[in-house]
Amino acid sequence: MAVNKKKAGVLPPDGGWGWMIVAGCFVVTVCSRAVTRCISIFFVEFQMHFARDYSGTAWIHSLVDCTTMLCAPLGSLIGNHLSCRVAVILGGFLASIGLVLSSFATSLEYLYLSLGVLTGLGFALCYTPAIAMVGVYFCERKALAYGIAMSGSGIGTFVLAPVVQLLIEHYSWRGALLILGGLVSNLCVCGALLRPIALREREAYPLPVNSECGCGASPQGAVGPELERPPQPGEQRCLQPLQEYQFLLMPNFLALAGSFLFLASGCSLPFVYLVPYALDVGVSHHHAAFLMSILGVIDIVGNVTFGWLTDRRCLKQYRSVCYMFAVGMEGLCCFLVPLLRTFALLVPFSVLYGYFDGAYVALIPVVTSDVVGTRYLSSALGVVYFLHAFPYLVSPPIGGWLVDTTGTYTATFLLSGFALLSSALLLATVTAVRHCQAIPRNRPGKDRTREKCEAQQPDFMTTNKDLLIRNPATL
Amino acid sequence: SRLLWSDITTLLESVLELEILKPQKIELSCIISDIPNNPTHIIGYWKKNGNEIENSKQTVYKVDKQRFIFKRIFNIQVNDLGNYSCIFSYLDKQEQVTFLLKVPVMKDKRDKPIVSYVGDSVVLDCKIKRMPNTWQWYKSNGTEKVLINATADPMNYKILLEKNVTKLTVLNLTEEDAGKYICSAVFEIKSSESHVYLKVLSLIEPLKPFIGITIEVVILVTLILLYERYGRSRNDSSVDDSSGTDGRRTRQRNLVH
Repeated sequence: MAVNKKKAGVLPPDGGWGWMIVAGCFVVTVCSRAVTRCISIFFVEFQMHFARDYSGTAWIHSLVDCTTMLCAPLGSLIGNHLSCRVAVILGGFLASIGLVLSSFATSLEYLYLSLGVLTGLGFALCYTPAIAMVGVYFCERKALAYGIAMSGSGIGTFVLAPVVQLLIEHYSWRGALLILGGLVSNLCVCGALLRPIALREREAYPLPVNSECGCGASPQGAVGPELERPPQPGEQRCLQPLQEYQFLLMPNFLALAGSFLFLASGCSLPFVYLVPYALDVGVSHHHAAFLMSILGVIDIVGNVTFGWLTDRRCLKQYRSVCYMFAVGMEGLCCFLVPLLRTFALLVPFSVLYGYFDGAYVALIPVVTSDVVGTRYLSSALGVVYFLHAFPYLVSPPIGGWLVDTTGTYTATFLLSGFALLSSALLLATVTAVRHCQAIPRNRPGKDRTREKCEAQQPDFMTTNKDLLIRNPATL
Repeated sequence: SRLLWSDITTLLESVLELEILKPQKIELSCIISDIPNNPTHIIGYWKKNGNEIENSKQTVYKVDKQRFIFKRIFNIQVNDLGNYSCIFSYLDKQEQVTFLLKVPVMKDKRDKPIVSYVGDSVVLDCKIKRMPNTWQWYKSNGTEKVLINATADPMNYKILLEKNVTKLTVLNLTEEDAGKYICSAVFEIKSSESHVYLKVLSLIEPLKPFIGITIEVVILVTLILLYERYGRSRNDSSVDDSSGTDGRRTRQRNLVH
């Protein structure tokens, strides 16, 4: 009986330093997602200064969004191989440099590179590792933690938009970009907060997470079927690159990935086309802008409340069902839009759509971690956000093409509704099939979920530099 | 010269704005209806800028059962823009309607200055609804205006004229370039002006908050890492202190690096 078994890692703290991680992730979301949205405030200034029209400047926003999503796997790779802390600090440094360089721009193409590519890359390096870290630190209250962390994009946009406007008024766009670069360097502070932790994994994934090799995971002296030879004490090994992406072959994950593709195609369209649609049916400019504000604020509410709701004991095992419900409801809302032709009717749509949008955003990391486990969470999130990139880039122009050819917004909203409903249905079908297959095996999914967060008999060990100090009498 | 006329019904005490682009003859007519007690005639006269126009008083008779039409032709030249009112009295009351004749005005408020930096270039613009004959830019030196001649000084100024919009690009900015710039839309009858303020800052201005934030970031990162190291060394020293007899019990603690 090896004493090694007793020197185990810790359970997810579900609090304590975990809340600092949530605060760090919140600031990461503010600095990356909210700053990306606020870049469009600079467009008028760029158009004036460089004598270009709207489409030339709109590319900047697309480039930042696209680069952030495309390079998300790179972020999780660095997070796995070096450390989440290093990845976020590096990302903050890059993004900050990108913004500072942009303040010296002499042409729009310069801005494409400095703002679009460099800053986008910086954001990509911070986003995925920070989200993965929250998943490592929380188990019981994971959805609430994610809800609070992801609400950063809504709250950040709300607060940052007037601040950026004020900065432009006082310092013009060059000074504003410089100061924004300073603000974004706070990402390095968030990186410093991401203290590594060694987790003890549940029996479904016997290989524990070791913090020395990054926040993703590494097999460390495990007594499991995956390894062939017993490890030496003190030996550290990292996941080989192929092992890191083993989850890609999981049927559950493939279904999830497919559903995310549909989701990303459908979810951005209403945000882009709600205001033009409202103006088209006769709502005033003032009211149309108010609809967007409602969307933004209710988004935040949805983030936090849905996260708290799905953490309740009764709903926890049905988390993926809640996720499907949120996405499905969004799809249904989109189908109803062509029938809503007055401001009074569009307000409930904004409220419902905003709430469920916030809801599913908070649940994406939760559902992903339920499917792949904490070990692969970082890499999986990288892949998930990578899959968001292409639909984000392509679907608004397709929506615009539909509007131009049909002359109304009905087709665009129907497309959005179909995409969202397909996403929910795909996931529902696959889950139902797996559930039916799992029943005869006598391992109900309910128990599996409950075991995740409870203390277990340690039947494996973690080796770690600190733990090598063992009492020889007990060996 | 063209004849232009304006037609209003009893919107009493109201003001109608008319944009005049060039000198012309204008007929202003006031159509009054629904007067109580239905008098057979009313007395009316015209005022220009608050002063009664001589010999403008006349008796107006009903055109048909209900309406009185009271009109006059005005020859509007350069100095004739202003307020014109038709005033008519019946019983003891006096009512008036005012026509405001003016050049098109650039209404957008420009109270916030445009900010730029030494050595940089800046674009100032003006927009107006009707197309003027031409645009002119002036720089204000205290009380007087100095015309900006872009052809004479192409290194420092560029003027773009484009129908309803004009853009003045000021290159190689220096501190003296700051101040009030006046754009003037020249119509045949008169010019319409608007101004915009330019503020030129040195590069040090935005650098101050930036350096402040960077220092704050460095301090916070150092503090957080120091706190972690302190926490770790405290944990390590407590591990060394404990005796080996607790070895069998599961010890759970945060492993901190």
